[in-house]
Amino acid sequence: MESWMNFILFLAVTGYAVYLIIKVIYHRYTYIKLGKPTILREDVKERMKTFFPQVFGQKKLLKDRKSGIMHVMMFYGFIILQFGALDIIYKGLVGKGLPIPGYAYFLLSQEITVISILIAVVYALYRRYGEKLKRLKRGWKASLVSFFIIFLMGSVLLTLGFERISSGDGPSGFSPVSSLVVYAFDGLSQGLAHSLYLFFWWSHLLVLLSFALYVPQSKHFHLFTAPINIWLRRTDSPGKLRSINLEDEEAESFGVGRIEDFEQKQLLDLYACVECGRCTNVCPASGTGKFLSPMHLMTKLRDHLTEKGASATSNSPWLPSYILPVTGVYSVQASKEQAGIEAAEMIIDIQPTLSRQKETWIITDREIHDINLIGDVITEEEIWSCTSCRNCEDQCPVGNEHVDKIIDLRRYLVLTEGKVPQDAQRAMQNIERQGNPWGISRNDREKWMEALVDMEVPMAADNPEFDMLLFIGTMGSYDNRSMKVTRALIGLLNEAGVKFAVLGNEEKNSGDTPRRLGNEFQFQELCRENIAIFQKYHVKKIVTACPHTFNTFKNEYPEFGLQAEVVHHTQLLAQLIKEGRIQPKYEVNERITYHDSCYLGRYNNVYDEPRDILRAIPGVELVEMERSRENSMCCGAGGGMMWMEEDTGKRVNVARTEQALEVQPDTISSACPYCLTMLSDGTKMKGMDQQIKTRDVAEILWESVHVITSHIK
Amino acid sequence: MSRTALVFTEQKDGRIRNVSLECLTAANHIVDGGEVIAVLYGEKNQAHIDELGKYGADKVIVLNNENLKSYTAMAYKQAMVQVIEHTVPDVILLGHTGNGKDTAPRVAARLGIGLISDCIDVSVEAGELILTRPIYAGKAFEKKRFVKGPAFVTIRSNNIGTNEMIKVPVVQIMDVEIHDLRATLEDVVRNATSGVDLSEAHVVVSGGRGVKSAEGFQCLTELAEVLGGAVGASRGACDAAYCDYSLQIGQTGKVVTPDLYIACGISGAIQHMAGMSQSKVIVAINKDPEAAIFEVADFGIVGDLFEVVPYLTEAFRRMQEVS
Repeated sequence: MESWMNFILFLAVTGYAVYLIIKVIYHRYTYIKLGKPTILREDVKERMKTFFPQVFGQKKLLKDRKSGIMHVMMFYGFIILQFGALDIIYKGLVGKGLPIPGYAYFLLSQEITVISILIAVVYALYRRYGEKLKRLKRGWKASLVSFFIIFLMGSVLLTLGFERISSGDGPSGFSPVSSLVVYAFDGLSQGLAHSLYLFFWWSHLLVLLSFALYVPQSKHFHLFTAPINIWLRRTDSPGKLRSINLEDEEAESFGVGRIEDFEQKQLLDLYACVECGRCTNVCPASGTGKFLSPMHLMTKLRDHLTEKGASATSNSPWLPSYILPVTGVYSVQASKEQAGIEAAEMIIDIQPTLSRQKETWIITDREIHDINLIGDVITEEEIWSCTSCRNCEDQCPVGNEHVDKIIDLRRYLVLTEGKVPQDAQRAMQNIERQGNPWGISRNDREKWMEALVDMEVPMAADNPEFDMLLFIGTMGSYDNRSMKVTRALIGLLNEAGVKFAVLGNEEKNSGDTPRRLGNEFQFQELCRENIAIFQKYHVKKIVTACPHTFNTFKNEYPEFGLQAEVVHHTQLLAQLIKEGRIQPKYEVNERITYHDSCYLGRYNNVYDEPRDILRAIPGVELVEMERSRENSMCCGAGGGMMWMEEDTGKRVNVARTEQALEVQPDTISSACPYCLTMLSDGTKMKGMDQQIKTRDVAEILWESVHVITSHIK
Repeated sequence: MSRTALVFTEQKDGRIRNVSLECLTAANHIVDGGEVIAVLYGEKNQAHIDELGKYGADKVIVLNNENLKSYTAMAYKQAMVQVIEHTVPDVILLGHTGNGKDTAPRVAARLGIGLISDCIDVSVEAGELILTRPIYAGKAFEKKRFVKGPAFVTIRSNNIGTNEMIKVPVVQIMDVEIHDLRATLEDVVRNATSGVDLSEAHVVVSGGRGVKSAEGFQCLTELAEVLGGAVGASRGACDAAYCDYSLQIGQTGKVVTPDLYIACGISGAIQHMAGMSQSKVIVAINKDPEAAIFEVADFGIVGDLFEVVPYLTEAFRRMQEVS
């Protein structure tokens, strides 16, 4: 009789809980469906290749070793515990354990897992409240889950312990922890023990169900969404932005001005965010006191989506609603004081940004329909602080993409509202008129050749039989400092006997700057014009010294019809050294650190070639900065920021230069004209430009090949 | 065919802006015997009225209103609309200045009339008013005319020039109603720079990192004063806190096109050149003969700016004393 009652009660409680859980998940699904449909590429193999290492291998999480190991214990612990929970529930209803072979070992595995999870939770709490990692939020909300887990684990052990007493099994070596309960309550009557068993069995069930209901309504929704998000992620190059169909006459706006303008996959990202703060921790904007924090970009958009979704679908996000009433809507309210770092002691510090984000994201009594995505949720200040370095995306354990969202917001500002910061506007207007951001005459583009009296520079028009087009790029053509890199590169290509040619005045800006600034229209114009020139000369291979040009040619131009192999000069030079066509022979006795360009490294995985070149040069001592390769910090110039002034906090290039100075190099080398400019400005601002050189890898190689340095003055 | 021309004047630092006087000159070219009416905002000021007369105003309308003493788009728009409706002019002129760019489109939209902006020449050909404006970044010019309604034109500064003609204008005080202002100007907080406005200066003396300190700018200021010019700076000098960011010339600062640009201790990074390379005459002073600035300079002096600049100041001062 008692067991029947128990069973019916169990069915009722569990049924109600499962109903609520399905409902909250379904409601969020309806919010995501408000977005535009996403077209996914069907490449299961490609998806598997990242899904397994990232989900089951926890690859991204282990980038932070300590937190990573903690998470691995939780992840596998909870998978193992699923069986234990089933066993406990089954036993409570049926009276005997699940028919699992080696049941005693199964019990042992459960108890070890419970203890492991408890250790992991305590360590997690220590990371958050003891070590006080800046990237982790503090406050009751952030620790709620830890208490859920502690209660759950406690209820598991107590249920098992009292079950052991009431059944008269006695202590067992296979159940070391629950046996402790047996010892502790030695002499307890079996009746009382049975009642306590029932009590803890129910506690376990209720904690478990409320935990399961809490999960989708919190950042812990990532238990479901993260694996789905990783599976559905974009499989084309991260260097390729979605293009806009500008011919679409139905389009009323371009870019994203409302949350539902995002694609559904982009909205799924928001619910996958677990607020671990790894993105903000590495963000060059957050680290230097700008308002932008990639984690808050996600969480603010998520909160806004939930509020707007609830309003649009009339599906309540918070269940049961008698416990969780809706209180108002979030929006950005002016902070009491502007953040910004004054003479920071540390090279980078995310604290001012985190504080300002926390202070400004406030529940108000405004109507959801009065909240503007741009302005009230994400401010223009945040939108125009991103260097598009993708360090956040590289760190994100749940596969979120932050940069494309920022670009979508920029597109709305630029293309639909025509609202562009003055500096950016000037750069784009100059590109439109003269093909370069400074507004220097387009007819002066090939002027750099005048200084190369002692070198041969074949023009494409006169040498139709060339193998490779050397695309000089805007910086290499006009900027005095970058011209020296161009000269070194041409010297090296001549040395190796490469049959190359240049376009001279026929070259146009690659369009990377306008595209990253949101001016899709200008990008597509430039892209088509450049491709027409390439086709005119039957270009089959392109080499360039600019990673931004390299990235857009390689990853974005093919969509518009470019059919050519595209390489970066470091790739070509490394190859030529390997083939013995370039032989570094003169010693360059310098301690050199190499700064990874974002668009070369994180965007295109070119990490080794520049280092191979440096290693091939006799005398060079290559030293790595603390942040290098995948986690290299941006110089501050990407995403069009090269042309805009940073007036909040510290300059990104100064922070990066300080990181380089920490390894005490003679030379800071790079392979990007923007990085070169930013780092050389950085050494000037640190007053170190007399002691420390900033050079492109190609210049150092040229010095080793061709010792007469007057050519590369 | 005679025309009535209405010129909205603009003041800066208590003086009528030069471009407003150019508008009067332009108006006199085209009125063909008609009346040139100048509009003065704020309060009656005899010196200003005399000056407007000196440059060709037949009549001055003074808009006496507390809200017009300093510029706000809403108040000025309301005033302009009322004056235009009251005077019914054939031609309306104002400077293509920050304020002009701000109000002209609002007024045009309110009255439902056309606007041709940023003109560099105003003329009459075969009895028809022809307006010339630069296009494609000044590579070509287009000529435009109005097909109907009054001709509403903004004029780019320093193109038409002024012409003294000595008239004694009739003064009319007009009351305008300004209401529903959503914003009022409380205070103007001036950011550094005294003397000549950098973007309008005919001579700019500019310093870079080579100036080494805020005190180092003193000799540049002296040279600028003697030449009646303004002081500018490179981004490097601003970053090093030698001077205020409002002086920054370059890609992310101001773009200047003076008759004479003297670059002192500036190496000539392209970001700086983007803000000054269109200057008519560029003089570079730098210790490093390899400095890129010499490539764009018309005259170069290789030497220590702290020696060269005081020499120049002294020499110009003596020249002025002689003349």
